[in-house]
Amino acid sequence: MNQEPQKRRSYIIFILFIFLSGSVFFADLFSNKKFSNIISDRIDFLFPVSEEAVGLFGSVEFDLLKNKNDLINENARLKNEVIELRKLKLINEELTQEIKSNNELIKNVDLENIVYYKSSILVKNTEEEYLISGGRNINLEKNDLILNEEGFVVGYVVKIFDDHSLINTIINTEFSIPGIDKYGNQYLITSNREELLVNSIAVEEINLNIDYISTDVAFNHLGKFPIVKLSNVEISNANNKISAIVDINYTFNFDSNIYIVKDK
Amino acid sequence: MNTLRQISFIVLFIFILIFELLIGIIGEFPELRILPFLILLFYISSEKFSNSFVLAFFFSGIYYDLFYTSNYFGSTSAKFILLGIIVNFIYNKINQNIYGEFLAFFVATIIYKIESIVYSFTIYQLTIIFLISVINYFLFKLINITLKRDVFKKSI
Repeated sequence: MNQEPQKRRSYIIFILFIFLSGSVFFADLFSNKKFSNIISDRIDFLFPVSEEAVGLFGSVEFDLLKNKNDLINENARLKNEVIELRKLKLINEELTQEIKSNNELIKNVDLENIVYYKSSILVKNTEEEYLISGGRNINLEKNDLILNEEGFVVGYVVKIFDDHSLINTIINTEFSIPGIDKYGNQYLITSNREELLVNSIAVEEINLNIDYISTDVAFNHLGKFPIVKLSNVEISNANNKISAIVDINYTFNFDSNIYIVKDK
Repeated sequence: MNTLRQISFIVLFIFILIFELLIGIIGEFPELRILPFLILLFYISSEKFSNSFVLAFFFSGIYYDLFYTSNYFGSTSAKFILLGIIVNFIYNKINQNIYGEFLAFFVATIIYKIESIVYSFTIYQLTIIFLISVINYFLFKLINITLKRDVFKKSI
């Protein structure tokens, strides 16, 4: 009998706290996130996740699932082996072509002034963003590039803490990075989580033989690092605009080797 | 005593939130995640809804915004509190059978994963959210049954 007014009172208090959250939200919005940055800097010690803790947590593997999956994968691999061998000759030719392209790309990367910090993934939030190790302790800055083990750009830093950072990756819909191809055409690369969407923003020369789109000093990046490879992708050209869609095959996990690029 | 109770709720909420984030990158299917924090929110909102949890809802959201996202401060708190109110409202209005309860849980999952829906709404995304709610609802039922079993009432 007494429950209904009490429930109504609870609703009112909850709604008041929504307004309180809203006030905090607007304070942060109008201070351009300075409000939240000051607080998070002061109480950074409350972040409990360290590389060691994650390593320990990650070592707990689900053996049952893994073994089953290993068997399935092994079976599939054996079935495909014969077909793969037949394709080997064709792949070999493609690889020779790729080596040529890579050599050209390497020539453009100035490795002398660049440091690669090895990082690891600490936590994934509900918006599919990742927290990685390394923050102000290694002088990270906003928009610093994150590379995978193959040297491709897989993300960039969006928020920095003392010893960890939040990154925007190729599987986030907010991911957006400018790039350039070997002909000097500029592109904007965005993501819809499953695919990378490549769209030209400034075209110098229309040529669809694009090997890679890479970062560039023109966009305040440290050098040329490949973002997407377009050699095996259908590229369309309409109304002086070049566009392509590239599937995202990269997956992030505890064992992912990722590197933060910094200048010396 | 009341303050201590409130603090313990806040600590419990934050602990489970951290646990959820840590288990987020384990597993073979990264899309289908176990969400213990969502289960906790749903349990509190449906079974134990009261004023005493509002600070826990608020501070766990603030904590999440501070350290784990690039969202504006307070947005996650508002989301968690809104989830609490809506789930409690639906839960009280519908028939409390398994279908009704699952519907409330599905709504909770949608609110919880609202960013995924807003930024990339596809049928695939909706299917994933449905599957997440099925898995987590099953876990919720499992926990709920365990918590409801009153061993002291059983005759010896």
